Order: sequence, then structure tokens, then C-alpha cells
Amino acid sequence: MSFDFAAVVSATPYLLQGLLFSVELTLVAMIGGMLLGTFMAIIRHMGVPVAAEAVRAYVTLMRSIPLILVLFWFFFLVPLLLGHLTPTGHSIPLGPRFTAFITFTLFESAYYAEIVRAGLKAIDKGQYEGAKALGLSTSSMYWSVVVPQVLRATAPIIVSQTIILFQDTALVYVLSLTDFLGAAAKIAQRDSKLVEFYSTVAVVYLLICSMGSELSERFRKKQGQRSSNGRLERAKRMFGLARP
Amino acid sequence: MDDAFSTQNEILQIEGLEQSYGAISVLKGIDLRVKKGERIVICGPSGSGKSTLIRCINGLETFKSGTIHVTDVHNGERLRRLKDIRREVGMVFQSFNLFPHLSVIENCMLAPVKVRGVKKTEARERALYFLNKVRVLDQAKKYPGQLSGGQQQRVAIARALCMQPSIMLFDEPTSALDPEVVQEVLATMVGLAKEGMTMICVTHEMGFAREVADRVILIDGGKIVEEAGPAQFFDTPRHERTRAFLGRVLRGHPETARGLAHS
Repeated sequence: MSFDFAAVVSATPYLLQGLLFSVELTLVAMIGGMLLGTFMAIIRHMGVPVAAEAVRAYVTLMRSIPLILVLFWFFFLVPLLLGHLTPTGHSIPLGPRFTAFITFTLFESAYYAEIVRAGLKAIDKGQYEGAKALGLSTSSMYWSVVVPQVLRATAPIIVSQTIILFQDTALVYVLSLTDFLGAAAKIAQRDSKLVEFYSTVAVVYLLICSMGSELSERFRKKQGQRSSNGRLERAKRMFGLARP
Repeated sequence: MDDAFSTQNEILQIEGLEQSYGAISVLKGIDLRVKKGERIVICGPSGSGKSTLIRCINGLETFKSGTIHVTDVHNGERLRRLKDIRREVGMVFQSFNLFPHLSVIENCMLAPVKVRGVKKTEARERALYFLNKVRVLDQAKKYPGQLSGGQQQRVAIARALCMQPSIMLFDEPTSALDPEVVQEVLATMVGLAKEGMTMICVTHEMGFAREVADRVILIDGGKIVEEAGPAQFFDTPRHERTRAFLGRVLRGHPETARGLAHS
């Protein structure tokens, strides 16, 4: 059986387009999701009346429904709902790209919120007291003292979640959008070279996700948490044969 | 009616302070008045409520009833808002509570910049000054995790001083330290006292109390049992419970007994 790598090479521009979209979507959903998620986590941690309960309901809901369902719901139902609100009653279509970016951000924010909330609870109470005793406002306390520590501590888990997010971007096919996997699948089916394209895609996903893990390891080390390692250990970690 | 003369210079007035955790009553009516420049040492057995008392002063604990009034030394007016009180009242904790992700000097600069609106350059000058005062200037660029316990606590003291508070609260500042570094922290606190800082200190270090305190207060079971100058407190305590407490403390800490004997 021959492996026609040339076919993959000639399709590279199209594949790159798809990859660009996957990366774009991941970055937007990660940044937006972390901002929104951190905000929600703080609201819940502070126990703001009403708002904390609303956050709890939202997070529970988003974590109970599969992403694919949320994508469908947002794409088909929200325009209908919005249509009811307008005078004409026509449903307002939201483009598939807009839907994808918004939905992924909202979905991921629930997961990031739980990660950050766990981090907030894990921070020693003395840190909060030290900040309060110095007279720091609540927002300064979270911004300058608590959240930086939470992000450093939870960086590995946040990276894991982001890796999952990156892999989930493949679901945009339900909105007829083309991500990296979608682009590869289309060409593979058109040219009947399934093995070549899917293998390439797998290798690319592997490389990107391993780089992400390595990044979080570097970040952890930079914070002064030394882990004993040599090159062999690092390689082992990249391939999941040793603890990160 | 407050006697105008006696309230002159008072910067802290606590009246009828009560606090309980559920059914357990921790403070059963505490009255305390502190003048500017006074050094108060509060001691007592575990669970007597002494930590709760000073944590009520800067709002880290709430209380069921009673009043706490902190007066601004600059204009003699009562400080009403918690954020204003916390600006004027500094606190040093048993567990230091330094911020591990910031360097020593950044720890000291944070609050003056964010709370008092001090410019960064001036905050840096101030931080270097106080770090020098507590003799950890050479550690300024390091992170708390790289410092010894005694150094960390001295940084914590400098950090509180950078806010230039009128009252310093100390909650068992040396209880978590190895015995050999306790003295370096106490020496720093003695230096502070000699400069006229108003201090309220919860501690078991009786030698320190003897040397520095204007008044020593014994709290037991949520009430003030004895309140007296150090000479009277240590040499001729009026109450049986004070005598019992002193006996226990000195039996358990022969070095403190030596400290008291020498002072």
C-alpha cells in the first residue's frame, strides 16, 4: 500500500485555512471563556446575592449538555427567540461563524469558571486576610493578589481544558463551517486518500497538543516550582509516559 | 459623658464587645481604650478570644454587639468606613501572609500604590527605607519562598509599615517561628515600640511584654481578667487566674523565665 504524501502537500493551502479557523476559534473561546469564567467564579466565590445563584445555574446547565447540542440550539433556536422580540416577528439569522465564536466562548466559560473557582477556594485564607488588612479593595485583592496565584496554580488544568477545546472545534461541521479536520476530510473524500489525510491531521493535532502541554510545564517551572528532569523526562512527558 | 481629658489622644475605644461562633461565646463584653503611642500586650490561654479581639479591630472578624471606634490621628475624627480603618491599622499575622508571586519589594509597594495612591517611585523609596529598617534590605529582589521564617516576618512588618499606619496589630507574630529567629523579630518590634508606634500585640513572649508594654492584659474565657502595667502584672498580679497563667507559661518556657528574670 503506498502513501501518497504529495496529495497532502498540494492540499496544504486549503488545510492551512482550516487550521487557521480552528486556531482562531480556540483562541477566542479560550480568552473570552477565561475572562467570563474568571468573572463568574469570583461572583460565586464572593457569594454575591442572586448573581451567585444565577452563575451556579448557568454553569450547571452548560456542563450538562453536550457541546454539539448547544451549537444546534444556539444556531436554530436563538434566532427564533430573537425574532419573537422584534416587531416583525421574523427570526433573525445569526451567521454560523458568529454562532460558533459565541457558543464556544459561552460553553467553555462554564468549564473555566469551575477551574478558577476551585483555585480560589484552594488559595490560603491568609492571602485574602493579608490583602484585606492592607486595605486593598475587593477588586484589587482579586486582581493583584488572588487571581495571579490561582492562574499559576491552575495553569496545567487550564491548558488541558484548552486542548480539549481545540479538539472540540471539529464540531463546527454541524454548522457547515470548515475547520482543520473538516478541510482534511473534504479533500480526503474528494481524492479518495483517507489514510494520508487523516494520518497527517492526527500528527498535526498531536504536535499542537504536545506543545501546549510543554508550554504549561515551562510556565510552572518559571514560577519556581522545580521538577527534576532531563531531556528524557521531558520527552516522556510529551508523550504522556510520565506525569506532567 | 466622655471625660474630655481622658479621651484626648485615644485612638482606639472598644466597648462591650461580644462575639460568638454559633452557641460558643468567644468574647463576653470587652472594654479597652488605647491612647496614641501606647503599647498593649494581650496574653491568655488558647481559645480565650485574644486573636478574635484584635481581628475585630480591623474587621477581619465581625462581632455580635458592642462598639469599636478608631480615631484618625491626623484630624482627630472617627474613622467610619472599614476601608479607612484598614488604611490606618496595620496587621502582622502569625503565618506572615506574604504574597508569594510578588518579590519582597513588590509586596511592600502594592498597598501604598493601590490604596494610598502613592506613585511607584515614591512607593519604592518607602519600601527600601522600611526594608532597611527591619534589616532585610539585601533580600528586596527575592521572593518570599526564598526567605527564612524570621526574614519573612520582618518583611511582613515592613510591608505593614509601608502603609504608615497609626496602629500596628500583631497576632502572635513569633508563634510560628523557630526559637532562634524569634529574637530577631522581637528586636524589630522593640525598635518599633521605641519609636512611638501604637502597638497591640497578642503574644506569649513575656520577656518582650515586660520590656516594651505599657499595659499587659490577660484575657481568659472571653473576658479581661487582669489589666496592669508590666511590673505589677508580672511581680504582683492581683488575680489567681493571672498567677496560674504565669505559672504555666514560665514552666513551659524556661527561656522566657530567664528573660523575665533578666529584665
